Amino acid sequence: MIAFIPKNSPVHSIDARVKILYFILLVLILIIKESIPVLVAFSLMTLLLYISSSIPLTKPLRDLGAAWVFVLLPIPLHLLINLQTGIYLGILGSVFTLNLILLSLLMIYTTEVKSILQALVFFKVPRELAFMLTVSIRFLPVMQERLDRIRISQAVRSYEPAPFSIPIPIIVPLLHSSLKRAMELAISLESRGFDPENIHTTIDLRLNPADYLLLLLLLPLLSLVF
Amino acid sequence: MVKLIQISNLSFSYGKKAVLSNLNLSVERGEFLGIIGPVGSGKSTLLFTMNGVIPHLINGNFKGNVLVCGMDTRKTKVSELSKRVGIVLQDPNSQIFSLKVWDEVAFALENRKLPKEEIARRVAKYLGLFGLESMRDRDPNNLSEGQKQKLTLASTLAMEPEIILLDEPSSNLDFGSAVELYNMLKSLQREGRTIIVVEHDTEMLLDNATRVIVVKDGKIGIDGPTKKVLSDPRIERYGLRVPCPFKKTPKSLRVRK
Repeated sequence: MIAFIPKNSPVHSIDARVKILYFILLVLILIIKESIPVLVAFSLMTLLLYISSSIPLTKPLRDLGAAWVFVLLPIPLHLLINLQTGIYLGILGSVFTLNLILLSLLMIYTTEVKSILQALVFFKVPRELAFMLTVSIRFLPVMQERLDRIRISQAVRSYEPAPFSIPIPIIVPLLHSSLKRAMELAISLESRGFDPENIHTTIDLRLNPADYLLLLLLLPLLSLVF
Repeated sequence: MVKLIQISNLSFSYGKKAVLSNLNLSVERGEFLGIIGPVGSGKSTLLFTMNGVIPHLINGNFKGNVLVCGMDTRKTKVSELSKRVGIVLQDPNSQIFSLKVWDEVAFALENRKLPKEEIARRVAKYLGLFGLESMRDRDPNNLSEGQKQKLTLASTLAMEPEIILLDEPSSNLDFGSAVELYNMLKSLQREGRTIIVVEHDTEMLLDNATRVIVVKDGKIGIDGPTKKVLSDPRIERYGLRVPCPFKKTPKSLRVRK
C-alpha cells in the first residue's frame, strides 16, 4: 500500500518542509547537471535514504505495479529516435524516472499527509491545490485496494489481459468507482462545513536542530545548481 | 410545532429522466422520519435536496422550493447549511479521508473555526459516545465496517446539527450494531434533534420512527404515523418488506382447518 508507514527513523523525523526543499533541489541538480556520475551519486543517495528510513527497497518496487510501464518507457522511445545510442540513453532515462518515483514514494512513506498539507500551505501553494494533492495521496491505498478487487473479480470470470493491450474491463470499473467515490467525498466534505474558498489549516510543524543543519547544508548544494 | 423543513412543488430531473415530481413535504422539529421506497424511487435524491447537495453539487433541473430552518437551499451554500444539517452517507469508505480517527472527527469542527479546547472537548465526547476513544490515534482505514460507520456518525454529530440525515445507515452493519445505532438515534431524537433516515429495513423503522413516508416514482405514495404506514397493504404491492407484526402468512403456508 502506498501510504505513510509510521517508524522511528531519522528520515521520518525530518520536517516536511525540509524534505520538500531537498526533493526540489535534488531533482533540479539531476536535470541541470545531467551526467552519469550525478545519476550514480543520486541513485546511491536514494538507496542510503531508504536504508536510513528502515523501509526495505523492495516495498516501493512492489508498490510500483503498473507504473513500471512509465519507468521503462524511455527505452523504446529512445530506440525509436536512434537505434545506436537509443538503448544507452533509454536506460539512463529509466534510471532517472525510477529515482524520481522512489524519492516521491519515500516522501509519502515517511511523512504524514497532514504534515505534507501544512508544508505546502507554508510554501504558499494555493490551499485548494494543496488540499487536492494531499487528498489524492490519502486515497492512493484505497484506489490500490479497489484495483486489486476489480482485478480479482474479472479474473474469476476468466478475464486475462492480453500482453500490450489496454485492459478495458479493469479500467472502466476503476474509473467509474473513482468518479463515484470522488463525488461522495465532495458531498461528505461540504456537508461537514468544508468550503474550498476558505480552507482552514493550522501549521504546527516544528524544526529540530537536525532540520536546521540540513537547511544549512542546502546552501552548498544550491551553489551546485546555480 | 416548528416546521424545520418545508419542501413545496419540488421537481428534479437528470436531463430527461425525472426523479422527483411535484413533491410536497414538511418535517417538524423533533420528528424521527423514515423514508422508504423501491430502488430508484428518488429516496436518496430527496435526502440530498434537504442539505443543499442538490442543486449545488449534483446538477440537474431543479424546480420548486426547499426551505431548511428558514434558509432557501438554492441561495445558501452547503457549508453554511451544514451548521444546521448533518448527513451520513451509506458508504463510510468514501467519506473518511483523515489518517487518524481523532482528525476525522475534528475535521468539521476545524472548518467551523471552533476554539481548540472546544474541538478537543467535542471530539472526546463523541468518540466516547461511540466507544471509539481507545482508537483515537488509529488509521480509520484499519477499522471494521461497523466502526467506520460509527466514526462517520461521530464526525457528523460532533457538529451538533439540529437535523441529522442518514442514507441507509444500517446497510454495512450487523444486526447488533444496527440496533445500537438506532438506539443512539432515538436518544438524540429525545434530546430534540430531528432525524431523517432513508432505510430499507422497515423493522428498524417500526421500532424507532415516529413517521414514515413511502416514495414511489418521485412522489410521496403514503405518509403518516409509522404503524399506520407500515401496515398499509400497498407496502407489499410496492415491493417493500412488510415488518413481522403486520406480515400475513401466504395462502400456500396457511394451516387448513
